Amino acid sequence: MSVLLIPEVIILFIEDFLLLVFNTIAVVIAYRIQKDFNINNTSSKQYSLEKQTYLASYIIKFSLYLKIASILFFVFTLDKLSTIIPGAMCAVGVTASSDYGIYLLLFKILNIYLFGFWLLLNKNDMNDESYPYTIIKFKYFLFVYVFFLFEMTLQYLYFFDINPQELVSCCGTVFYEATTSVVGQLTNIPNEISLPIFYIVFLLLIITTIKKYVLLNGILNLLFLVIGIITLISFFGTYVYELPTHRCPFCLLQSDYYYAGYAFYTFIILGTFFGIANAFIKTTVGLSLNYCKFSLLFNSMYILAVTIYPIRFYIINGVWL
Amino acid sequence: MIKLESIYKNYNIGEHNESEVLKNISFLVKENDFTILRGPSGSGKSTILSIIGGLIKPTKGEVFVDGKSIAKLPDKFASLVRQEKIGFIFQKFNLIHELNTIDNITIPLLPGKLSRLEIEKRAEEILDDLSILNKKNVLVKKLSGGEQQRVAIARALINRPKIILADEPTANLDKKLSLSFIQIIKELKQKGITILLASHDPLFSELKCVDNFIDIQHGEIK
Repeated sequence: MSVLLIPEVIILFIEDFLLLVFNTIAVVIAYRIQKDFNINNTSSKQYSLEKQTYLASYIIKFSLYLKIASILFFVFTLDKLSTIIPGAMCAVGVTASSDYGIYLLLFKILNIYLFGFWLLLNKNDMNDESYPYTIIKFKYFLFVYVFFLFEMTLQYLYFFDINPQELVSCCGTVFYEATTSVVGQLTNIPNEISLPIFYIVFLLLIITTIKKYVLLNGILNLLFLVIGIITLISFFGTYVYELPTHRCPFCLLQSDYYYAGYAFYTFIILGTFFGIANAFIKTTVGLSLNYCKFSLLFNSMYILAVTIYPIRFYIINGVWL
Repeated sequence: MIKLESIYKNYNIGEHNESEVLKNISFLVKENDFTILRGPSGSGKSTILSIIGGLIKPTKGEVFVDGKSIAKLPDKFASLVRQEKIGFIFQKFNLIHELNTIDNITIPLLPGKLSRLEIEKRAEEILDDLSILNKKNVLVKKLSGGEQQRVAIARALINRPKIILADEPTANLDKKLSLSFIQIIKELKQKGITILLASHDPLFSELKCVDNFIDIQHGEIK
């Protein structure tokens, strides 16, 4: 039996197809606009391009919203597949059941950020009467479209590659200390090293927000995202599960753990998104967005949300895991 | 209030059928002025009104409406200027026949911040002023020509504009209804509204309340 006939997988393929159609329309429009758009031109072609910018903007906005819903649905689908793939206890096992799994997941997250940057650029462009970023934002969309195609191709390869007869590893093995995978090794950085880095990076985020070092803040946000996920899997997650051997980024999303993972991921993604977007847009188009405070707010919420678990555990049990 | 500086408008630029419909149009309409654009059909009057209303852009030149340059304003921002400052009365009224009177009138305010209750209250006040409050729930296709025009005027006034642009407003009316329309326009002027009206109706040439006549012929001011 192939996983391709699972209804959730079919839905993901249909959603991919719809996004492909919409984004291809948007990319054709984007190509025309970046080539010929000139706000000072009064030709009928320019009027037409101006109307098309509105259409393309709505399509891309719609794509982003669909992609956010889709990544949640993707994780839900992986969780569901874990019931039919031998050895998989949760989405981690299903992700690891194909070589493409981890790259697909990373591309999905990356594309949310890339589409999000486009939307911020678009918002600032459309609020200025001279539409100063129209050409650059549509050039940027041509670049984002390539990433979107990569993600879509990976998704096809991934689902075609899953063999439901093949035994896979569960999350306990994937993130086990002796594992040889890159992700496994990253999450096996000793907590004595990763935790101080995590809190120091956060401290630096506060300082760079106050001092308005936008570029440095963006780089630190990227680092915070990576170290935040590593420590979530290797340290904080174990306190959510109350089991030192349970290292999994997905089980946190289950009802057994009160869906805590949704809060964690929302906070860290929003926090780092605004921080990285600030630096990215400042560097590429010279526009200051002033979103550092939003970034710090969500990152602080993330720190609070994850830190509370080990403290609570220690207060109740008097020991660390 | 309205200032046009060396406005040119060409259609089908660069194509074999390119036509120059406006040539070097410049004029000034002061606040609370009642100005008539006169000229035969096809002389460019409607194009001028459309440019001032931000419906189309000039090929060359500058347009200022209440101090704001709108000549090269993107559609989204031109619509905002129109929504805030301008009421437009079209020759063929451009009403939505499937809707009733009050729904036709309130459409321009629907994307705004006012509540439905406030919008309806404002619409009823205007309908009352124009003596068609009793028709508020009637489909506009069932109204007479004169009543339809009052609905069109009411729609133009719903956003409390500083400027009214009217394009051949009496072209579809008989003399009695045209005189009634002129009476409404006089009252609007008394309320401080600036009026720019395009017409080749000789009725307007006899009016004493008109502050300024601008004669247009073949896209040029005579």
